[in-house]
Amino acid sequence: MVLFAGMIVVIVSLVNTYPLLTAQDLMVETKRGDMLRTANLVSSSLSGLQSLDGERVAAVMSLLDIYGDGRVFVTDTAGRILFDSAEDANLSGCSLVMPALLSALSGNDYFLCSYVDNAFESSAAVPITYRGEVFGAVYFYEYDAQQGALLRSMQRYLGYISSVLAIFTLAVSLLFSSALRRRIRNLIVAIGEVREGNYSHRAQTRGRDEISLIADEFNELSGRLEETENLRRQFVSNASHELKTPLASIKLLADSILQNRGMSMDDVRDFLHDISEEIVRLTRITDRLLSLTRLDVQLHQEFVPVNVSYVVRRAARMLTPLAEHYRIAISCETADNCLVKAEEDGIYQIVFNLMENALKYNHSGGSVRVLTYVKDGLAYCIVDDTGIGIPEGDLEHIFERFYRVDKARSRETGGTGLGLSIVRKTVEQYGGEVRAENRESGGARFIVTIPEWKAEEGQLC
Amino acid sequence: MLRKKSGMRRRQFASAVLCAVMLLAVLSGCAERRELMEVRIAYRNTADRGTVFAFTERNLVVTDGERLCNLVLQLAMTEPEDETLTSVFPERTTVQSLEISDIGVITVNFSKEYGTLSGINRTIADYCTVLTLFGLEQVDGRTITGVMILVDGQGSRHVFTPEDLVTTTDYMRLQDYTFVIYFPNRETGYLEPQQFSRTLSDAEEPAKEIVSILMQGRMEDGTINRVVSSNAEFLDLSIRNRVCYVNFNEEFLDLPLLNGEGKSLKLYAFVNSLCELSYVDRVQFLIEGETVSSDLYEGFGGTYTEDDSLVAQ
Repeated sequence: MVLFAGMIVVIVSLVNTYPLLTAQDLMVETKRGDMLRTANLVSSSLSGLQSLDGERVAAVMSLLDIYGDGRVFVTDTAGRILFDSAEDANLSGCSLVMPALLSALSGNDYFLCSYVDNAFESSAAVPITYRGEVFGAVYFYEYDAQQGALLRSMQRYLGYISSVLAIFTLAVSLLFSSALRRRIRNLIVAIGEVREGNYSHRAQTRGRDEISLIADEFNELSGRLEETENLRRQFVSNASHELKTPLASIKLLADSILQNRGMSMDDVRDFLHDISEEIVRLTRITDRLLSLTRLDVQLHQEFVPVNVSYVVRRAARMLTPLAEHYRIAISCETADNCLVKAEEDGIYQIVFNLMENALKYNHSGGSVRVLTYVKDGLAYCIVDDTGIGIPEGDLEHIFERFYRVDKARSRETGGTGLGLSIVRKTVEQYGGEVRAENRESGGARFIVTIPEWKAEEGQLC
Repeated sequence: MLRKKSGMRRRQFASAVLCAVMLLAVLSGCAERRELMEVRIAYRNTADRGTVFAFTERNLVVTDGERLCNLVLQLAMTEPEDETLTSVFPERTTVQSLEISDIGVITVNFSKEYGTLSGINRTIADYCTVLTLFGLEQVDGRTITGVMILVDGQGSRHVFTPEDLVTTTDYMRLQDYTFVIYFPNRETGYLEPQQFSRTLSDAEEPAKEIVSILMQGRMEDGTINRVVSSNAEFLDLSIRNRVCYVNFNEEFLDLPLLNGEGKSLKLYAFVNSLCELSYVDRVQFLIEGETVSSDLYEGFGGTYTEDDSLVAQ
């Protein structure tokens, strides 16, 4: 602040000094021109006399009468004053011995102006010559308090204006600086709060300046952090819960075997079979969690053209035994040109998960219909089922991790609650979208759209 | 370079001459009255700024006036130690004779070399002589009133004084003054104020103008009503520490003009008039440069302050 005030003082000083010095120089230059012109005019008028004496000089000077407020002296070569334009304190007859006159009597013009005691004091002297010979000099003196007062008043007004401007600038700067500091302090407090884990804290924003933009960005960032944190907590909670259930079953079954000494070998084998199934389930959950983690990391991978229709037909073949088990018919209507740039395993995962869900959450005797086609630059893959459908309230959550519409049925069918999350993540990885809706005729419909890949000229797929 | 060397040789030679002159002066003074005196020697100033004339101060042991005048002129004709100053006298110039008149006019007769000077150089040399001699103030008890310069016994009878010399712009800058002068009224026994307007240069002391007006007296009914006796002379005036010292000749003590209370209207005419100046509080009267006491005037040896009770209402 002191530095800023110092800068203002320096600027104000410069603003005060420069115009004054310029005005002073201008006045001095004007005086130089005027006075030397007048002195030279007198000199040239007197040069015709060829020799000087008081009476003749006075006669010429009375005709001229051009010296205004100044005082004109005419001297001979000895410096004796032959004429003094002043009536009072007339110096005629005295000897004028000053540097200005010495310069003029040496044949040179002389001018000196100084600003002293709020007045300009100027002297000009020129020689009086005849045929190259100096035979006298004209000395012109002027004491100008009027111009001095003008300069002084200019200085005073500049001082007033500068002072007012300086005070105003200082006050406004103080105001702005304190407001800015207050806002930056608020932002620092908000950053501190978020650093300490209080993700719900928001920085106050006002206006649309850069500080507000920073605060907005910060709030956006902390909002995302909060969201991520919530998801993480929920995920940890869900994952713990999902892992705890099979582990609890395994413990219960193992304890039963250990505590029941008289258990038959068949019962033991049944229990061990159940334990094995729980372990398979645990493995499935951890595999899917690892898949999701890999998708979250989003390592850069090389994508290749993949024919979605081909993948759909392969998945259908793979799921035929399951479909037969549930007595559900699978039908595929695929277009051959349904190409996307992706990984084949990824597309297979998408299609397989959706079709498996369509079988698991279907009625016995129902059907699953898979449709692929290309429209408006997008490759479509639609999986329809004739199952139980999805409650409207759950539609927007079904792609969340560990979200289950019917928890009991999901576990019963071996679901982990991660399948649709993996689908969405994978689709997004290929720049596509997935959405779910209920069909009017009953059942659910999943629609996957991925940008179509088109072979450029000369490129082989 | 050659000029500089020549100047140095000239200075060395001048210093030797100066020492010899001073030694002679001291030796000759041993037999007579010996007095140490500070003198100012005028030279031409060759520096870029300042006035044409500049002074150096010397202490001299002197005997009589003529010898003193000769000695200071010898010094003025030698080159000073200060290199920004120079002597304007031509080489080998000597003072052939020097006389001091009863009225304090010194006539200096230079050798013919002085006559080689002309124009402004001659004027500068003339005034170096005048300023140097006037720096002595008094010679043999006589106040120096002017200097007449002859060359080889020839020349005009022009008497030079420092008042004729204009060296600064102070002489050219004029100001209008209005003085309130108090004149004694013998009939009423009071002082009567009267205003006077004057235009003076900055080089002129307004107090001197006030004293001059009082010395002239007041014109009343076609006759001059004098404040001081006609033989009284105003010699000098100086102001120090707000005290104005006014120096008169002895005749000033005549014509006391006392009022009924024994106060001198004459003295208070000066005191009240001078104390009208913003920078004067008190006045001291000197006679021939000395403070004296007088039976006619109460407290004459001390300072006076203005007395408004003497002013006519």
